[in-house]
Amino acid sequence: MVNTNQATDLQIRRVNKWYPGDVHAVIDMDMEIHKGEFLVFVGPSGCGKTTLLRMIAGLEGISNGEIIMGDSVINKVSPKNRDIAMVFQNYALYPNMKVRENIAFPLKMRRTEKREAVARITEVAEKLGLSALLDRKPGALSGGQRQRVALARAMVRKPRLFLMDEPLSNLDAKLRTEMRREIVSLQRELGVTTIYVTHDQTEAMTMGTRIAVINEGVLQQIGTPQEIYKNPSNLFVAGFIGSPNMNIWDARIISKDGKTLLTVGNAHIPIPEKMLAAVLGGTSLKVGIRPEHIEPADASDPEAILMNIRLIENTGREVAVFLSAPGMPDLTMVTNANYAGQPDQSASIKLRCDELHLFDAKAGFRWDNG
Amino acid sequence: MKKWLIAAVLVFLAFFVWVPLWLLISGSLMGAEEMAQNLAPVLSGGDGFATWPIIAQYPTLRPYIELLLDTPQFFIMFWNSCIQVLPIILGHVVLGAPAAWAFARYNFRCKKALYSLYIVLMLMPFQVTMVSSYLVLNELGLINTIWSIILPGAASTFPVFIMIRFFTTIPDAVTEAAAMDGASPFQIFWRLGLPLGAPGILSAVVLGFLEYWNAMEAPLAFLENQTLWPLSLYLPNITSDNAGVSLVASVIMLIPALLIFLFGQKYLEQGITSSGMKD
Repeated sequence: MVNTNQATDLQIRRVNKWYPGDVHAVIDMDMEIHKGEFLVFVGPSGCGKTTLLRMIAGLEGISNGEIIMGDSVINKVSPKNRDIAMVFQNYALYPNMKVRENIAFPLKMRRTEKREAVARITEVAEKLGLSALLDRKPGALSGGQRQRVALARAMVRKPRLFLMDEPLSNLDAKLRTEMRREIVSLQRELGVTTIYVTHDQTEAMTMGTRIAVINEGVLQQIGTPQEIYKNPSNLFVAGFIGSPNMNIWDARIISKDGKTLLTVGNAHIPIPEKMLAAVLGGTSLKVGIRPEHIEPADASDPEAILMNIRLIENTGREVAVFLSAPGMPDLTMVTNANYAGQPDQSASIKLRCDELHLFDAKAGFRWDNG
Repeated sequence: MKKWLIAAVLVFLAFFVWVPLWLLISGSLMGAEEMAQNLAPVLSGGDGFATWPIIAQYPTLRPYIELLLDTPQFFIMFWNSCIQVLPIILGHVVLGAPAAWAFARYNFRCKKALYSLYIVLMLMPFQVTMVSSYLVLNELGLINTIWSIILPGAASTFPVFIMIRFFTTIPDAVTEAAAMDGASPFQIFWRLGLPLGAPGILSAVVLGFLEYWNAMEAPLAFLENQTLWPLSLYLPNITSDNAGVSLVASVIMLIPALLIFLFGQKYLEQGITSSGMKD
């Protein structure tokens, strides 16, 4: 098969993975990865994202389907001949070798000329701030330093594709944020196509130029962080992406006083015309709204809903207000940090109806097109 | 207080281990006459009990001189031990390490069955396989040559068993990273497997050396020619005439094993722990 799109670096064509015992870990995975992009595979633990990454690396066999790199199918190509570098979750440094030897290893295996190898090692060590650590063994390094060595070892080869398998999961929160920025800026600088696996949706949203959301071995949605956040294609994506989570409840469409309304527990809100058109025929619905699309309202507002404040989480920049009321779904509102409400007080809120997301309650797909 | 009690119990128990060694050393420093006098009731049927002083009454190095200067047979047997044990140990590393690596890192057909066979062979005492081994070695024309000791020893399954435990502790990610970095399966074994599995290899070497340095059954069964006998068979030839020299031979024979033990104590402990058994 020939690559039809010049900008495509890697194609995954209906790839499947079965493990013994009829475990179907990856199901009909289909996607294209563009040259120079930073694609993030995100999903809960055990969703098949790492298996897919390992299949791309060649560390795991492909049961069915094709992985195409450039113009050639690489299903049977051994890992060492794929021109792919990988950063592992636990760094996978060679404990018997010094940092310098760790970084030099891929060059040595490829019989790179010594002078060029030294130059490349020096360059990459400087870039990652490892120059002073080159003669240490991995055992004498901190977690962050080890992570840098693992990155340096991947970068020194100048590969066609970087694969990163949850590389930040073993670092503390502060270091994780720092390394996140560092990896992104290095990737932008080098321009190497990168696939990054994580279960952390914040990491996915902040790092990826595109995100592939995977659940139970199935690709749920692929798109830019903004597309995925604004227009989740199904209930899973809607619930998985975003923190705090999207508010989702079972709803019905009813007619009252000649108006078409949507139920929110015991309350009703108007439904925009375009959504109504899309949802016709849908009998059981789930409706979602992002917490930032719920806002405080005047009690006198006819669309206001009265609820009780259960909990408030103040991050300094904003507050997350957790609301509940009898006969109502629990809702979360994110609003301005100077919000005056307190726990156990009542609060009037209003839902921005143009920001609602309508899903089929059974199949989970999206009714409206956003 | 509790620590003192434990220490006291351990010292008491250690005493029983040290006494024979101490008597061996003190005996090796006794002259022939003192020895005969002390052991007369045992060796020549005299009255009373044999005695063994804690320190030789008239210490002398004469038995050492006699053994080291006047007993060429001892040196021949010492040399025999060396040329039999060292190739066996080399075999453990050259044959055992790749076999252990394959068991530890690869999945292949019949792996479980083959591994079970290794375990069964390892657990069988020499006496069980002696006759069949003799027949095979005889057919191959190896009986009465040092190869009848070296070849079965070098292909022993015990070091494989020890080394597997160490090789399996190397994280998969490390070997996978090497494969991604362009290393061939042999390069992964050579550059990562051997260095990272070194403690396992060394424990197998130490345990193997101690086992084969002291082995008696195989040389007795397969070597009729006494000029090929190793040092371990020198000691059983003790008579009342050469008791002192035999004690010296025991001391000298102990030295290589003791040195290996001291240098490899750390690995020996790891090996015994990982094998979960003690020979």
